[in-house]
Amino acid sequence: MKVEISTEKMHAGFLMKLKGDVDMNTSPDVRSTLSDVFKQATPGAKALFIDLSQVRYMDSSGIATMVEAMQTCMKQGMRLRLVELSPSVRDVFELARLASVFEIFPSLTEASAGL
Amino acid sequence: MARESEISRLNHKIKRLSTLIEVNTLISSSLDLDRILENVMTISKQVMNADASSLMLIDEKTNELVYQVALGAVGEKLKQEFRLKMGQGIAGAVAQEGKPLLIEDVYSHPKFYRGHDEATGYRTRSMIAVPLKVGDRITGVAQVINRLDGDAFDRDDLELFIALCSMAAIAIDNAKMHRSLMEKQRLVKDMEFARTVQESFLPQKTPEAAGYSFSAHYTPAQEVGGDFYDFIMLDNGRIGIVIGDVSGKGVPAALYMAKLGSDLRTLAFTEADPASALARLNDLLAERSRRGMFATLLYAELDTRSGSITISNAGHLPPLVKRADGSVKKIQSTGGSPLGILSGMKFGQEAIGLEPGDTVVLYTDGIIEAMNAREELYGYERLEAVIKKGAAEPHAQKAAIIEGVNRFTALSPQHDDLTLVCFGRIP
Repeated sequence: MKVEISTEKMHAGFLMKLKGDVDMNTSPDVRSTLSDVFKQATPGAKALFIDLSQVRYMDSSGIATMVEAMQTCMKQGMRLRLVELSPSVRDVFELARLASVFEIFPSLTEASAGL
Repeated sequence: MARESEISRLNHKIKRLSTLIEVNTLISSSLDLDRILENVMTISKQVMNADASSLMLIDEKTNELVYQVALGAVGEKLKQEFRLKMGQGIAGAVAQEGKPLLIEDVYSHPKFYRGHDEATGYRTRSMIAVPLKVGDRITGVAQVINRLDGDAFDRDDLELFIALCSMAAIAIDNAKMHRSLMEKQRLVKDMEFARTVQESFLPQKTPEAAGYSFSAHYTPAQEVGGDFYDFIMLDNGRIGIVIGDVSGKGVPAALYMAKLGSDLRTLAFTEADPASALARLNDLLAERSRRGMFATLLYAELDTRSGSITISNAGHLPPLVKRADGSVKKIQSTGGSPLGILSGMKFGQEAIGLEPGDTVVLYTDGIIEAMNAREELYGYERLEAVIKKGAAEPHAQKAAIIEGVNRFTALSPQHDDLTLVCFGRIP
């Protein structure tokens, strides 16, 4: 299964929505879209939100892509906020204790607050 | 007179045909793409008596024409600075339509793109541009520019150049196929090498300690994976036991694993306990993080004198302990997040006691996520059931788990490394 990626500019920064599988095969596409987003990011951009509600499966390559996004955000003075983890992604994050590393929010409204 | 002109025409034709034979021998004598391209254009320039010649191939990624060879006074400048889009300029039009063009006066041609002349100071007068075709597929465009005798190119020249280009196109295609085949072979060799390097980092034998038994299993997936395990012989009867999984697969994962393994071997000796060894290791990895790579890792120190194990778990799957009474329990540790993501993270650790007859099972997700033909996952329940049912002795325990997984997956291909470490106190 492939991944569908959409991005949109928001008041506080950018929103990326992922749908499908984020794995070894699809991670390169996500990475290259992320890199385009970071190129567009102006100094005013506060955060990158990634909506994971439609992600069916995420493997370690997919997680590495999220880690890299977070590291790039930090370098650019932005926050990475993961929004609405699908049940399977939530399982992976809980099992690997990733919840303490990422900022995770149940909805975009909550993720946008306090920026 | 008529006879003389006929003889001269035939002689001319014979000369051209022998040139073509010569050209064919020369360009098909090599499989080296760069050499073929250079040869084709050098010969074209000579045979066509042209002042300049160039060859462009279509870049399949961008669908642009890219100069491969450009011979003549301004050739180098062209090669470095110009790319043409499909349909742009004469070469672009020829590539798009797949039809050769003979142009006696270039500046009166509507498709002529003056940018090249303006940038280089060269004056293009007459030219021939021919598509390079293999079957119906257009792979590029070859051009000769300005006849040296000052005349415009004619139909005879066009015919010759088309013949020459059809041979060149096939030779270029063969060389490209050869190159991609060689690259694939090299990649396979690199992979095989990476796998031997990776496997050389795994312990050659299990530790020997009175009253204890150790057993380990590792089956790599088809691609080089990032699983690893290690035993580190420390002082005062202590043994370090490591299992981990680097994100991703392939050579990057294997190299990351190799570095991580050797760093941990050092830290196991210099740091006071597993938690501080992992904290230090995490900082080292996070400092030189590339592409978000990270590792889940469990580090346990077994004190063979007291039977106590201190475990620090960085996001790795929880170990299972089978007690002498037959009960099986997951050790949910405080631990911490996977290694290499953020520096400055703290890690927890816990100590458990190992009594005679107790066995600890460490494993990677290759076991939990092993998949059968119906796309079902092996899962914890099956693993726990096998451990419960099987003998407590580590070698037998390991064999039973591997057999259980293999029976479950049957002939389905293995997607991930399968790594297992069992150790226990002999009753």
